[in-house]
Amino acid sequence: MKAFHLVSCVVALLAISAAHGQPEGEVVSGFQCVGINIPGLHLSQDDLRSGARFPLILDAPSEDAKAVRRISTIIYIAWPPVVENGFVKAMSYDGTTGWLEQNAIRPLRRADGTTGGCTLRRRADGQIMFHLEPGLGINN
Amino acid sequence: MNCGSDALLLQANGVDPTVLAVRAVYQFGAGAGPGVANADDSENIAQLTGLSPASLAANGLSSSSTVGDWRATVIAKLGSATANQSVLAQ
Repeated sequence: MKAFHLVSCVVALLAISAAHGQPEGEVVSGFQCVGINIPGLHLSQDDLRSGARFPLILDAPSEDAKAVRRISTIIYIAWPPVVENGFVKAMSYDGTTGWLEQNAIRPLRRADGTTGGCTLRRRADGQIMFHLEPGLGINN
Repeated sequence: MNCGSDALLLQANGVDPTVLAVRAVYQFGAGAGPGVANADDSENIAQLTGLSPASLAANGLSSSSTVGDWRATVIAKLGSATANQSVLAQ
């Protein structure tokens, strides 16, 4: 009877987790979220929307390296940061790693100026989703 | 909306080009759209996109709208199966 009760409780807890949209997938460690460096890259509202002036993730830490992925406003970088020749090791949303110019990123901040990061989870389809700590944004 | 070029842009960002993801690029732009497509439901859209309250309002959103709220409105219009379908032939 006790065993049945225990199983019922576990099932109930799992149902509650599902109902609250518990994030799915295994946690990806060794990488953290940062934001695109709006002031450092002198990005306007139009630039943020179009992404036209966003730097690219390259296959080597060199200006003449080949582009492998584009970036968006939230960027994944190796954590602790790995910096080589002015480039930081980065990872795209599908897990492809490469190098991004160091000036392209800055910490995510809350309105009060404190910094924070995220939890990354790899979905079954390989996509790496982010969940930011509360209050963080690219404009703060 | 140019589905083909938006889908290719999403692929270049490493994002699966579903109908929902293409809609994110159309609505939030090539800069911020892929980030919205790859965010958890609980994320605040204004914090990810940097959109002003006026721009959010023009998109039927507010400064407290989450990615999940936005996804729900798109899914309500298109249905879950269509919204999560890839726009590129396998």
